[in-house]
Amino acid sequence: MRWPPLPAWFVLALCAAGRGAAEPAPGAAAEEVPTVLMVIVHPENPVTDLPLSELRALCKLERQFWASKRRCALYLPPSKSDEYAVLLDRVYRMTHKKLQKYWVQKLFSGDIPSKPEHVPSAKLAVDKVKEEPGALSFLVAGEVPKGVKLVTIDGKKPGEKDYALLAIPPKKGAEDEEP
Amino acid sequence: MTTPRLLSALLLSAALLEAADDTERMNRLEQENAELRRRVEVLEGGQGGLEMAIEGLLAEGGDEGLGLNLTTRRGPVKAMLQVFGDVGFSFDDPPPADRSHTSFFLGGLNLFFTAQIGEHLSILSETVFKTSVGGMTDTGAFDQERLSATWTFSDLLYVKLGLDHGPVSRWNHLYHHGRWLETTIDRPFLARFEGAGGILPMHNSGLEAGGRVRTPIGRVEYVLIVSNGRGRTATDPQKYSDRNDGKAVEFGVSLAPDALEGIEFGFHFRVDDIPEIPGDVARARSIRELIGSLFVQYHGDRFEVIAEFVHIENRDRLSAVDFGHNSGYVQVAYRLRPEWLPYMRFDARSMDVGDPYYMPLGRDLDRWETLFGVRYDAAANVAIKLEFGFGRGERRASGLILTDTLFRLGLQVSWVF
Repeated sequence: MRWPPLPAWFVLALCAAGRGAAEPAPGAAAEEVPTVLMVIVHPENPVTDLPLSELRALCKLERQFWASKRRCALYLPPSKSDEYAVLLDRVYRMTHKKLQKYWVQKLFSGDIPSKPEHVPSAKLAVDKVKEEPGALSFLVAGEVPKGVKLVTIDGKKPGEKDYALLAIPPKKGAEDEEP
Repeated sequence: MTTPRLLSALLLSAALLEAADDTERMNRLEQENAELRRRVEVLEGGQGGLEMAIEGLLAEGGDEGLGLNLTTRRGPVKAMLQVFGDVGFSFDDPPPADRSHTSFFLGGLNLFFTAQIGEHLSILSETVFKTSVGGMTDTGAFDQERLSATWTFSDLLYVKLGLDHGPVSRWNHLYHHGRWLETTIDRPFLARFEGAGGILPMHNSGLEAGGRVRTPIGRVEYVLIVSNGRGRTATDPQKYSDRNDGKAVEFGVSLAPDALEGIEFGFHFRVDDIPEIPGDVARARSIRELIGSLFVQYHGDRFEVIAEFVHIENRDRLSAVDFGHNSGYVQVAYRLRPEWLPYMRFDARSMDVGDPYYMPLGRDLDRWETLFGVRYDAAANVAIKLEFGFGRGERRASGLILTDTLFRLGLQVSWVF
């Protein structure tokens, strides 16, 4: 059977597109520094490690309580921050707009009593976690501030190989583009 | 007393006096020091508060939520208010009874309030100003759609007391009166409210217990409800009282498998005893109602699918006749661009004619509709929907059942803030 020439051209075009995508433009790699997040909780929280799936469930409020029966109070970074962009990419796997609709839907269904708060700065995130035994928040990876505890993800600390919470934040203004 | 002794005594007295002065001075200095420390702490606290206020103000421009984000927090209370609304235009052929083909309509104004009090108690209220079309004049009134208090022990168990929308229809559980949340302009047949031609109980006034658990295959949610059940007619949801001791009992289970992210499916089962109507010979005895429903939904990056099927089995205890009714729909949407969401829905109900519960309202008649439309998200919290539908529907005329071809066109603007 003689196949029409279109599939061959199509495959060649796909290969070319794939090669093009695999080779970043010169100089681009230098700019694309990934943001690495660390997860912090109150020191009294017995949790020391979370699988990514559990963190996702906590962040989407599909799971709202710690094993200690204390409610998990989630404090998110500001919506325009790189930290939040990493969360959207690696944890929520949706755009900011979709996440906002998700919260409205969850609230309206009665599935959650309130939305998570966005804290405007890392200092306030640390303060909230210090104050509330059930709190969970995120910081750009670095020195762990006094009064809070680092939680590893899938047994890995920030900076270790295959650590889950790192991503290259999208360029500003592109956050709500469809994947 | 000799002079040296006198001198020594004087020197000792002077030294003692000086030491007393030093102690007093030290005490005063310590007090001043403590006061200064206190003032520094107050100033630092004030600076922290000021910093929080400034950062909070800066964050307000950060698009943290939809609309006005009306949230307040005082001590253990965190409360939130959201307002949904919709207005629109419709063309119907044939027109509704005693109405013209074309109408501008006021959908509803929905005041949704929720509060979390401490870690375990939450309050929810949904009040809707809506219109009632019929009779010589249309009327509008506020109606309490939901009011409940929930105590959540853990993820595994919550207990809710009050008035809520029933989960026998998944659509009802997801969207309530929030038209902005719905992809389409109107609800499918099986999810229409009691006062809008619906065939299912959409409201439950009672006690609900449920929870969720993570299993190796995914998230399982479960619910058990005991409620007043349905009233004497299909339009009476018995929100405020019950006319018989036979309570409605229902339970449901759903699964969101980890392997298929975005998919959720489940079933629901309900049994109720619909009270008799005193003085009505056709309804001299109660009706036992069994309802079973299934749903599947998928919300992906671009695709949205929701489908439901329900079977209702009504046994009239007077005539000992069983009436079986089926209804279902499949709705598919595909997001072309972030703002544009075209959709289609096939919706049908197949009813046993003559059910004494549905017949007086004409709800024992068959109907189907195919719907095409597009939703345009003009802003993050504003949707404009345009759709047209066609189908077939039965109606009674002079004791006969006739079938009409139906056509409708609708435009709706809905929002939340």
